[in-house]
Amino acid sequence: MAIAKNGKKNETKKTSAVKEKSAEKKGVSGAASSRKSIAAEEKPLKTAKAKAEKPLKTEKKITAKSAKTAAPEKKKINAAKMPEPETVKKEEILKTVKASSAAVKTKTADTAEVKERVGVKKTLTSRPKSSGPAKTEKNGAVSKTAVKDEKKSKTPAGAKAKTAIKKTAAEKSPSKVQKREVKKVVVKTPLAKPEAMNVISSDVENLYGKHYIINTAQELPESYGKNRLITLVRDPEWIYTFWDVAGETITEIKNTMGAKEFNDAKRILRLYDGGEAGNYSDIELTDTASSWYIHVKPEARYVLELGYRSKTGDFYKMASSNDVAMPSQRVSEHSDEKWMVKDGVFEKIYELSGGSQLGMSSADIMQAMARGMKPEEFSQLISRGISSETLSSQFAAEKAREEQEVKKQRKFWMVLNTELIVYGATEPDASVTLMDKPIKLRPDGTFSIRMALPDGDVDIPAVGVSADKIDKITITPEVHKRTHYSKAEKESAL
Amino acid sequence: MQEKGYISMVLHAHLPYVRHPEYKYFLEENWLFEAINETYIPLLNIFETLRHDGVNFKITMSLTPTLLAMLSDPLLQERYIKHIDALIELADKEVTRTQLMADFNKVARMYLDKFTLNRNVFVGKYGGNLISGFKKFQDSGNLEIITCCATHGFLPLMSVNSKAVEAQIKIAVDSYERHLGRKPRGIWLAECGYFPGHDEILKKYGIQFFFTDTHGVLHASPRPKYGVFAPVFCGSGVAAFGRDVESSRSVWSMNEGYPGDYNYREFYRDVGFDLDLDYIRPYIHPDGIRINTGIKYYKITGKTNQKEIYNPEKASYMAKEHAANFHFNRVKQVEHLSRYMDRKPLVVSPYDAELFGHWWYEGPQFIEHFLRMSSDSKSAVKPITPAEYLDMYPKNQVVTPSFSSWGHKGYSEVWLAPQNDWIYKHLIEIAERMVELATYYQNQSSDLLVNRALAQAARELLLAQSSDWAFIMYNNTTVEYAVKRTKDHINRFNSLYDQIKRRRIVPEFLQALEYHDNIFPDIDYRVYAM
Repeated sequence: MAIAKNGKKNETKKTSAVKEKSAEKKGVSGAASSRKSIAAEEKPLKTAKAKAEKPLKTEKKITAKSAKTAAPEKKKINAAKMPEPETVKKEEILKTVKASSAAVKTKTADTAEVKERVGVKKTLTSRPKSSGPAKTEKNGAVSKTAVKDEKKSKTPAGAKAKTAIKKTAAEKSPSKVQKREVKKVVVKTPLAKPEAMNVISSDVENLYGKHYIINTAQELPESYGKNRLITLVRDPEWIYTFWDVAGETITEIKNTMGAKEFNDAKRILRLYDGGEAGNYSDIELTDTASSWYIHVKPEARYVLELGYRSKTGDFYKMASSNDVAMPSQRVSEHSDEKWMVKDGVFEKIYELSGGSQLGMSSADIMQAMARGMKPEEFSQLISRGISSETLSSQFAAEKAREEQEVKKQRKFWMVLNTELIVYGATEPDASVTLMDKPIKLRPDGTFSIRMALPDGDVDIPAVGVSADKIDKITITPEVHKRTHYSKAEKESAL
Repeated sequence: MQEKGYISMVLHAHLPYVRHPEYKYFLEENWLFEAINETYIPLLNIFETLRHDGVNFKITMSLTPTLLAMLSDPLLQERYIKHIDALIELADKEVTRTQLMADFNKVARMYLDKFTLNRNVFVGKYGGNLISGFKKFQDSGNLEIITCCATHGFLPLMSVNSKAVEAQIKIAVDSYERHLGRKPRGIWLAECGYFPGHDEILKKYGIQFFFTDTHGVLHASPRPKYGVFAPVFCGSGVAAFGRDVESSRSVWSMNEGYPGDYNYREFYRDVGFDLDLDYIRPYIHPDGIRINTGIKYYKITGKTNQKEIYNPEKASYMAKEHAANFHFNRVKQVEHLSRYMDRKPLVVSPYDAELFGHWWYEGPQFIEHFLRMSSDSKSAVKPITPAEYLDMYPKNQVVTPSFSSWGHKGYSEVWLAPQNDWIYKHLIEIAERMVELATYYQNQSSDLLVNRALAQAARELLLAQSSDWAFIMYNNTTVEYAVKRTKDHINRFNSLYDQIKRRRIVPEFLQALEYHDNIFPDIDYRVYAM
C-alpha cells in the first residue's frame, strides 16, 4: 500500500533527524511520539545526513506539558536543526532540470519541457535574458515588439506552424472576453475540429506561451515581507506553525533591545494553552527555522506568538497566530438530553459503526485490512481507495513495482518470446487470405502479418487470387516450434 | 418484503485539472483518458443497461468541478478520441497477432469490442461530452450527482481564510449549475475533509448534506445516537453522513477481498511493458518510454509472476458472485442494526469512482449486479440517495461533527507533512492577496483588463490549491509534476498580483495564462471580497 509504505518510510527519515534529548523524562505521550523517541535513540541527530538523503524538513516537537513546567531558560526541547528551506527548493529544481534517465519514466513531461526550454532560449537570444514576473513588468512595453520579432524569426514548428499562426491571428484578434464567450458556446457544441485546436495551441505557444509561462518555473519567494504566524491543525495531537517576518521588524527589535541584549536573546514560539494569557510555554527556535511541528493535547485550544525573549525574560513579540481548536480523538462524553438513549444501546451502535476499531482512525483500519490483501500488488492500489485519487496512485504503484522489480533482478531472470512474420507480395489488385482470413495489401501489393508463435506445429496457408478471380496461388509454410528451457547456476566463488 | 434498511453507494469521481495545450502529447493527460475508458463509460453503460431492464436503481456520484471542466473541454475530448483510436488500432493488431493462440485471441477481441464500443458511446451517443450522459441518469431519478470543492482544495487546511473556503464552495456550485442545469443538493468535501464551521458556508450556498469519515460523525459532540447509520445535522441545519466501515471492508478485506480475487484481471501486466518495443512503440510515450496501454492479458492468479490468461466469462461470473455476497452481508448488517434502532438504518458506502474499472476491472459489473439485486422488490436492503433518506427522515439529531478526513490517520497529515508543508506559506499568502485585491476592486470602475486579470488570478489560486499536488508529494509518485504545478500557479498568481497592483498588466501574459489555465471561464472573483 502506497500510503502506508511511504508514510513509514518518511517516518523513519523524519526520526533520524530528530534530536530527542529527554523524551522519556518528559513523559512524551502518544504512539507517534514514542515511536519517534525510539528511533531517535538509535540515531541521534544526523541532520546533515537527512539533508543529503532527501530534502525533507525535520520535524520537531515539544510536549506541551513538559514545556509548561520546565524553567524557561533551559527549555530547549527537541530542537533539531532544520534543513534550510532553500536547500529543498534548489534540489527540487535541480531534479527538474537534470531529468536523470532513471526518473524519465514517470516524468517525461518535464523532460520534454526542459528540451523545449533550451530550444526557446536559443531562438530568443536577442531578448533580455531574465524571465518571469519581474521582467514582464519592466519590459511591459517592450514585450509586444519582442513578440512580434519572435513571430517573424522563430519557426521551430516549421512551415506548418507558420501558416497556422496566420490563420488564427485573424480569427483571434478580438479581445479575450469575446473569445471566452465564444468558448462558452463551443462547450455546448461538443467537438471542435482538431486542426483548429492545434492551430490555436501552437499560436499561443509560439507567441507567448513559452516566453511568459513555461519559464516561470522559478523559485517561490523566500518571504512575503510581512509579519505573520499561521497555525494549522495536523491531527488531534499535532499542530504545524510557520511564520514570516519583515526584516525591519527584526531591526526595530534589535534597536529597542540593544545589540548586546539582542545577541543574547532567544527566538521563541510562545504557546498559550487554552488561549489564557498566563498559561504558556516557550519553544526555542533554531536559527534557520521558519516552521515548527508542536505536540499538543487533543480537545484543547492554542494560540502562538513569535518573538525574542531577552536574557532577563522580556518578550518582544513579532507576530501572533490564529487560534486553533484541537479535535477530539474519542466519542463525546456529552450525550444530548433530548436524545437520551437506553444504557448499553449506544455502546452497541458505536461498536457496529466500527468504533471499537477506531483507535487510530477508520482510515488506518482500512489500510491495515488492505495491507493483508491476497495479491501483494493489490494492496498497493488500495491506498488510494482509502484516500482518494485513484488514478494518480497508479503511478505510486507503478513506482513501487519498479522498485520491486529492481530487487527481483538480483535473481537473474530472462524471458523469451517468439513472433512470426509472414510477408509477401502480389498484384496490387489481387486478394489474399492468410489462414482463411482476408488480409489488407499495401498499395504496392505487398503485405506483412505478425503473429505470436506458440509451441507446436502450425500450417499457415496463404492464398492469393487474381482480380479477375481466374488465377489462384496457395503457399503454405509449415512451422514447427519447440522451446527448450534450462537453468544452471555456477557455484559462487566463496 | 418490506425493506429493513438502506444503502447509499457514493462514487467520488475526481481528477485534477491536467490540460496542456502547449504539448502535442502529455503523459498525465492519460489519467483522464484511462478513467473515461475504464470507469466513466463503463459506469454509464451499466446505468443504461439497468434502465433498459427497468431496474429502478439509486446511486450517488460526485463529479468534481475539475472533472466537469475536463469532460466538457473540446481539446481533451479530441485528444481522447485520438487516444481511443490508437487503442482500437492496437487491439486490432493484437487480434491478428494472437490468432495462433485462442485464449489470448479471445481477450484481444474483448478489448477490440470494448474500445470500439467506447468510441461509439463517446462520440455517437454522448456527442463527446459524457456529462450529458450522467445528466440523463440524474434526470431519470437514478443518479444523484453531487458537487465537490472547486479544485478539490482540502478545506481544513484553508480554514484560516474563510473567503478561500467560500470560494471553493461557491465556484463549485456555479460550475455544477452551469454543467448540470440546477443547483447541487449535496457535496463531497475533498478528501472527505470536514472542519467544524464549514457547514455554515455550505448552508449559504444551498447545500443540504455532505459526508465525513466514520470518526467525523462518531466523534461528534454530543455523541450521535445512531452512530454512522443515520445522518446528523450540524448546527447550521446541513446534514452529515458518516462512512460505514463494514461495507468498505467488505470490498477490501483480506477474507472477502473481492478485487483481489484470483480470476480478476491483473493490473500490472500490460502489453505496453510486455511486447517488443518496435511493435508497441506507436502506442506508448513518443520518446519510446514504456507505459500502460490498457491491454492486459492476465488474471491476478497468485503472488508469483506466473500468471494465467484472463478469462472474461469467469471474471464476470465472479463479479456477480461477489455482488451477491456483498448484498447478503448488507442485508445481515441492516437486520442486525435494526434491532438497536427505532428507524431504518442507512449504510453509507463511499468509494473512489476510479477504483471501479480502472483498478478493479470488473468493478462496474459488480456495481451493476449489486444494484440489480438490491433494487429488487424482495430485497431487504434498498439503495437510496442521501437526499431521499433525508426526505424520509427529516428529523435528525443535532451535533457538531469532528474535524476529520479519509486520508491516512484520518486528519490532515497526508496533506501536511514534511514533504509538502512548504506549500502552505504560499497558498495562504496568495489567498490573502486575492482577498485584498477583490476587496479593493469590487467597487472600482470595471476596467476590462483589470477584471480579466483578477479573474485569472482567482483561477491560478484555485488551481494551486488542488489537494492533488500535496497528495502526490506525500506519496512520492509524480512529485516533479506536482511541485511544478504548485510553483507555476503560485508564480503566475504572484505575477498577476504585482501587475495588478502596479497597474501594469501585460496583456500578452494575461492572454497566455487565460489560454493555459482556462478553467471556470465565467468565474466571478468578487467571491473573495470582504
